[in-house]
Amino acid sequence: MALAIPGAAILFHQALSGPDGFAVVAAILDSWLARLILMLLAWSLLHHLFSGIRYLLIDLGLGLERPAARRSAMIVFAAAITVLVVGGGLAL
Amino acid sequence: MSRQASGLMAWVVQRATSVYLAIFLTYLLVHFVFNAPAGHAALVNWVAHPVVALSLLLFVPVLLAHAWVGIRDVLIDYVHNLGLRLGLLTLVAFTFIASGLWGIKAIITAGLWG
Repeated sequence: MALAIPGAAILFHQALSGPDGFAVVAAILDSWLARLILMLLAWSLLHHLFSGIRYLLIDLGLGLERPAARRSAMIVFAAAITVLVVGGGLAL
Repeated sequence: MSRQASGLMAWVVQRATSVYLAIFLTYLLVHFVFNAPAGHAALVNWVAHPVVALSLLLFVPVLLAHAWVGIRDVLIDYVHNLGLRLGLLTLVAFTFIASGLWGIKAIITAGLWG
């Protein structure tokens, strides 16, 4: 995700530069390689988001015991995949 | 903040920024999956909206602070060669600063269009 930051900044700037720039970015993002990268990034982001919420709850003292921590780790993994598949399905 | 407490400061930064990022990135994902701007004019209109523009301007340093703390921790934990670590940290810092400035320039310029 950190590696995507400069690329995202360049594409964002390009898309806002004018109608031609927008068309270039739209064409790039439409390619299968870009779609694959976006899917992987979306999965990374969703997993990071849910595990981040899990860490915040653990910082608050919730779910500290080993069984609860194991269960929440599984929930994070499943939630990220579920939202990725549902969101990806709705987007296509 | 004293030198001894810089780790605690990083911990606080990571958690404070995470709350904003969780909310704003969820909005961004939902917006671009279900209501992606169809053309340049629509994108400019969206970016130039005062609430969106301000949220994006805030998003840039908040995201970069969060990413910087994360990457810095990874490089400190896993890259033990000090020269290489310093070189990578410098490269990441300069890349992040350039990306942030480029993004902010795009947001401000879009505001001038509308």
